[in-house]
Amino acid sequence: MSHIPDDFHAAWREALYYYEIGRHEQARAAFLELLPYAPDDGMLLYYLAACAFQLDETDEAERFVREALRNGCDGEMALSLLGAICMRKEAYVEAEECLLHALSLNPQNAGIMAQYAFLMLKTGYEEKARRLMREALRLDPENETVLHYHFFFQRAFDEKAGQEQTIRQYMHVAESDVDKLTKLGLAALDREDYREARECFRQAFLLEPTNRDLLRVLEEVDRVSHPIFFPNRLMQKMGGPIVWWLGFLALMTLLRRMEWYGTAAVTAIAYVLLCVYTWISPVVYKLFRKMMR
Amino acid sequence: MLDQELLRPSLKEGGVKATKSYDLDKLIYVGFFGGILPVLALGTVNAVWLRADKKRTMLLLTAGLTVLAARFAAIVATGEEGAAFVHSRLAGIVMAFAYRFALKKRYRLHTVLQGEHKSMAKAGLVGVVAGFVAEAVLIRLGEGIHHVTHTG
Repeated sequence: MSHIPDDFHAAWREALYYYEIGRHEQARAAFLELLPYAPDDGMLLYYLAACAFQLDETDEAERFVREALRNGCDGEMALSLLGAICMRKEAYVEAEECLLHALSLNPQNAGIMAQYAFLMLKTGYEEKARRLMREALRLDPENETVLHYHFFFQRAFDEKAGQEQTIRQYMHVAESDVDKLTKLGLAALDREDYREARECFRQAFLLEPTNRDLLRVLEEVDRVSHPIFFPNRLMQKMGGPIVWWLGFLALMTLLRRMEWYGTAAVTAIAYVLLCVYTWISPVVYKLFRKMMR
Repeated sequence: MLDQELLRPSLKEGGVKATKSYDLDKLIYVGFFGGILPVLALGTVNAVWLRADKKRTMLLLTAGLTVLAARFAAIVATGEEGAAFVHSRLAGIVMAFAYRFALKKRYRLHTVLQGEHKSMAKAGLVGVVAGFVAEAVLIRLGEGIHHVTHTG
């Protein structure tokens, strides 16, 4: 930022504001306008990389962040971003190098500690991951990044009660409404509250219409909450297929004992039809979508 | 105090050990069409991929094989296949549910972290065909043994 003339400070603050509230497309446009005036400003290059990363343009993000590191951008921040980029590219060994390098610069950085914990969890070092996450939470229990990864830890280990509490904390500290809404949506999805989930993702998508991940999730929620899948959801809600199957066997035995063969036959046919329907409903849904287009 | 051990690289020496998994909800189709054998095969592979508890994996496999052995013994004893084909499919469906239930936690972990499942289409199809062949062989073998021991 030091290389940018004073007149541009307002423009810089505006760009930064867009970035912080999660409007990455606008933030990137604003940062790009500043680039000709400060082509070797480490911080500017870092934010361009971060915007590109958020907009799913991983290669461009990597180019910018490497440029930022060469131009003396704050090592911890840039290395953490490079680590995230490597994780997205599934270059996990390189991601580990970046994050450990960042932690060697500052072992007290709770956010990067949590990020490293998540990398360990994803690559199968579960015990180490848990210990790292405990350490990150000890260092800074109210850090946005720590809470973000802690939320995914709790989702992965299916700790529902803890998840709710983490979200509440996250709501207090998070800057971006899109991030908040996404977390609320995911939690609703875990509770199988599809209406709530859809509303969260829809609002998030309205705030950030270029986010392809959000669009994908929204389509998926629309899919699973569609009336065509009602029998599937009913079965899932009432104990799942195995309970239905056992119930069906018990009912058949009972009806046979009572020699109600007609009722037994109708029940059997209905059950088989229901089962077949729950299996073919994805195909029905696909056909339905095609017809609606 | 931070344990320095935690900041030592793991992936460089240990390698990436990310979990893998089929879409376990599809295992029931394999059971329905292919019977118990392909379910046991794919279920065990999947349990290993998910790094599920080894004891649990072995218990499921043993339970499935015991059922299979008992049914085979019945064919040897009577010399008739009876409804063995249908029984295998019923047992396959039950085992598919058992795997889904026993692997629930590990499957959830995998789904949240990796976000994708391997397609079971190819392995499932191969499993169903191989299951058919293996079952036919077992049934003939059972009847053959009965024949030899009861006429000889």
